[in-house]
Amino acid sequence: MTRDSSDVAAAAGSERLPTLDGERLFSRYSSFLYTLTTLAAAIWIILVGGAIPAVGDTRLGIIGYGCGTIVGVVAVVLSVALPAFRYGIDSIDISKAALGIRGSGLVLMGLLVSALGWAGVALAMVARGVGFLVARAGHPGGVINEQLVVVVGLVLIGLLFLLVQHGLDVIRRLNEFAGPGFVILAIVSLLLLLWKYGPRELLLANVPAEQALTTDRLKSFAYALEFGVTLAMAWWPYMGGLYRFLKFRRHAVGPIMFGGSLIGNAFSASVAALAAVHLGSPDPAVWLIELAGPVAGTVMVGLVLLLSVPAICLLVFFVASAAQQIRPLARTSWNWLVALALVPLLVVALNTSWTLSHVVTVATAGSLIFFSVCGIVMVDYWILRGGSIELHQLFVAGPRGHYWYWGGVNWVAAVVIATGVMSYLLLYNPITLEARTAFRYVGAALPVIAGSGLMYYMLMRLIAVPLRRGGFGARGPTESEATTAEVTL
Amino acid sequence: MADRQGNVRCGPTLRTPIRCVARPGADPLDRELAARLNAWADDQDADFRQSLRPALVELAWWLVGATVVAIATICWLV
Repeated sequence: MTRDSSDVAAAAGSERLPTLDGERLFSRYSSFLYTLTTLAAAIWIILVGGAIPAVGDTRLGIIGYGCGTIVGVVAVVLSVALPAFRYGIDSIDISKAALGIRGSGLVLMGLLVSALGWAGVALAMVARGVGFLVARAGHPGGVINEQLVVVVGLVLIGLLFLLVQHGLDVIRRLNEFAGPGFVILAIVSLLLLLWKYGPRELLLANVPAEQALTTDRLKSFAYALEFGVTLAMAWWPYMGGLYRFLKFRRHAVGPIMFGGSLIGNAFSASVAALAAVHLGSPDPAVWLIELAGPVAGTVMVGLVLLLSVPAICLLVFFVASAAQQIRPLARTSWNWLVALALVPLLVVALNTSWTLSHVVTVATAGSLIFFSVCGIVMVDYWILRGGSIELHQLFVAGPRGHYWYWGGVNWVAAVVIATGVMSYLLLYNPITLEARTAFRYVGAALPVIAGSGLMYYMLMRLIAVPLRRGGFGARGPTESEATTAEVTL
Repeated sequence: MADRQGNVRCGPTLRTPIRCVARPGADPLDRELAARLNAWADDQDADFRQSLRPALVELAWWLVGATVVAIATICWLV
């Protein structure tokens, strides 16, 4: 790419254009590792980890959660990350080959709801965390000043704008501090727990039976596995946005498995789980102060809050990039897109308590489609298309495009997604955590991913392939046929 | 030239390669898109164009490892 073309891209919404070799920012193993660790280990993982002991047996919970995380992340990497790395495009563009040019709007909706939801939750947690620290500075039983929380939220939004407007490179540099910082905090917390309780007592403590979700140990394991897979699956819409900036194939698996799964996710969540079961609260602001004392604990809480800012930046970056899929916004300048992405967070800053009690439900509901989408895109890319899609056809709108299907939507995929969501909710309610008997064997997410993939394969073979929809059965051009494709964003 | 599913690939691997163009009167961003798609197709030697088989093998090992740990845990702790 010439300097001129890069300037054109930079001037008006370059984030949707396919990334070329020279623009791939993650050229070092460590930089990709740190970014993935930061995204995994941000403040929400401490909350998720704090919920693990509720499965009944903390040891089973930690192992099951770790296994679920790894299996879930493998599915996400296969489904979306490797194709995004190859073609330099994000998850939404990758999904167009399977869902249709317009059908991918469903993924866009899911991404916006889930990313804005989690960014809102993290922002609310950070703002209230600062309010909590200030209240405690006066006296231990101090009440949080709500006006201060609003001011902190608004200041954070200003900070997010200043950081995200510079693009992914600035966020990547911040993550080089935030990623290791989170890991050091988790290690220090674990050492403090070991010092205070000893290894045996630390590992064998469980919540009282009446507080556990179940007394069935197999079901306990299934719950933990489900938590791990679900959290990994929440990455589906974002992974394309990161892998399109990855430079080398040799970094495609190690950083996400070590940084994103084992260290950032499973290890951090395990420390939070052990702390929660011993110190009686899943809230990091409470157990860190209880564990490390009022001074060191306050410093550690402050660091957790501070280190969560780059993760929120990443989510806002994903939202602003994804917004360019909406045609009128494709040519909007990057600064305006970032400002637009931050508008919903203004509402969050004014209503942090409401956000924490309601938005987790909305974000969870918005993520439900990604179990089926993961199975569908994986089968479509690796099995039906043999690991190859036509990059330029993702940008050809209209009936002449190979991924137009029926009116721009692959209705086969739409039916499979609807069936997948209904099956998931039949097996398990992610809000109330109620589960059917069949849930105890392998949870709900893994059967839905596998079942959606299988159902999609069979229906596509029966319907779309014989009808030559979705680029199946398209012939290559002959000498006399046109050999140009008209593309548009 | 099409692959075994009949998909047409863009780029110089084709006997008659498909070149991407912007529509007549398109704005600079669409022209940039077309230029990038052609550059991607021409960039056969880039690392991201090589086989993904090593990554698949690595992922398979992680999957096997997690499955073994899960089964062992169920056998011994449940």
